Amino acid sequence: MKERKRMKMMKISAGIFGALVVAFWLLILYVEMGYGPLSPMFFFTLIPLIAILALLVFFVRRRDKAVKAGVPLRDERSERIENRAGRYAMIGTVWFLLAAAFYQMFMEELGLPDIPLRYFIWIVFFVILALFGGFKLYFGRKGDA
Amino acid sequence: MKNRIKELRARHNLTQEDLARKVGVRRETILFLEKGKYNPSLRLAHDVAVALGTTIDELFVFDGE
Repeated sequence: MKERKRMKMMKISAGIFGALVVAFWLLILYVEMGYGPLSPMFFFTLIPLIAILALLVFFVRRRDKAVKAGVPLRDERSERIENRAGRYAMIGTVWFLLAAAFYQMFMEELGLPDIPLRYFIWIVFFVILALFGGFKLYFGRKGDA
Repeated sequence: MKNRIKELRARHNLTQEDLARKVGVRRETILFLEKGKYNPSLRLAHDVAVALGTTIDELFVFDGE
């Protein structure tokens, strides 16, 4: 019963997260339209959007099936792995942002293209998710003994 | 740290899934425990020992013992 309640909370959280991601994308679309016709580059932002939503649906459905089969949503090992992956993803994101700051600092001197902030936010978002997913997978296979 | 989980589980005719359900964890946790790739909390070690009808010191063998 407790697990079902947790699963329900997880579904609600996933729904809110998905809605926020879509709302955020629509907001960027609205801002972008203010600059005139949409550039083809803008449609690349659809890739992370679809990827995030598809992953969200995939993981929620998989967890839901497992809970219905009597598997706990989380146990001490999965909690430990998620906490460690979260910690490493946070550190990785800080390093990524630092690298981005250096890029911003030297892009003009080196003749590198400018990345508008509205695209950059998507990149950061994707980096966080990729780092967390990657570390979770790695720690889940590695073990900690 | 080595352990006798696999041996005792077989003696009790339990699958990893059965043992996981008994102690309220995922099957992967039991798998990693058996392989010695996961150090459980004292609580989980106790629960597994009880589920297998033994004690923690009978179940887990520390290196150098």
